[in-house]
Amino acid sequence: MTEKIQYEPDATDMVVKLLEKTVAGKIPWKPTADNSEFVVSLKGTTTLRLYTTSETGYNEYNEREEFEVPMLSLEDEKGRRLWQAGQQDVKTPGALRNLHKAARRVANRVDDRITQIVKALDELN
Amino acid sequence: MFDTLQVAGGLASIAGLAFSFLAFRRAERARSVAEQVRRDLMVRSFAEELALACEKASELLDFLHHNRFSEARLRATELSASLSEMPNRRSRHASEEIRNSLLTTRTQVDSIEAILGRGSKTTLKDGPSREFMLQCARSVIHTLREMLGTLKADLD
Repeated sequence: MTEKIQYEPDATDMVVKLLEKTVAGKIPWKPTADNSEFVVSLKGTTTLRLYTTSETGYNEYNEREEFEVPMLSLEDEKGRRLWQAGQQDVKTPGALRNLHKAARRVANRVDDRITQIVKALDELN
Repeated sequence: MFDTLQVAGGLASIAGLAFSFLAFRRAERARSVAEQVRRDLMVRSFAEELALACEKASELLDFLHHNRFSEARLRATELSASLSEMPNRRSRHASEEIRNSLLTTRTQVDSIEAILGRGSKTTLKDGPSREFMLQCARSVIHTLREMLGTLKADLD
């Protein structure tokens, strides 16, 4: 008799830690050819991919609308997707969306650019 | 007479032991030098492979710039294959950081290849994905060049 797997792995801990380390600038997220997708490899064998998918829901006026929702997936060194999680799998509200935003900032080196611009503006008379 | 022979024998044994010790030290040093030369050769050949990958990435960027998407796709496929091979063949000489970078850049190149495979020339030329592919290819080149720099610094 085979045993049923009762629990999905909990994504909360990983997403919260990823967010902390990303904000601290310790995770080198990189851009891909897809504007909303960012990747990083860890431990030399695993790739994390942050991307968005479209979901239909209702806005504040109770109208049907398409929303972009963030997803996190885990791939092995051969590029096979092993596991994925959405916001519903993360107990901390908004954590995955914040992680996606932070990854975008890191991948596009937004903070560096802002610092450079502020510095350039300071140097102007 | 017997005593003299005994003393001479003792001295010869001590000298033999000293020579053995010196020979052992020399052999150890030679082994360590040979190991270092071998390691340097491996790193050098890894650096040469990375330099080739950098060239391919630069060609990919150039093809994308000039809207030559079929050639760009071919380069992306070649580059992805080299980046897949390297961590497996060079795992003993590549640090975790380098293996991470190789895996990340391969994923980035695969994303370019996927977009090139999906779109037609017109949609790629005029659509927003061209700019994102260019940005991604530039990021790949920077990462590969940084890795190459680290390896060269290690050799120097």
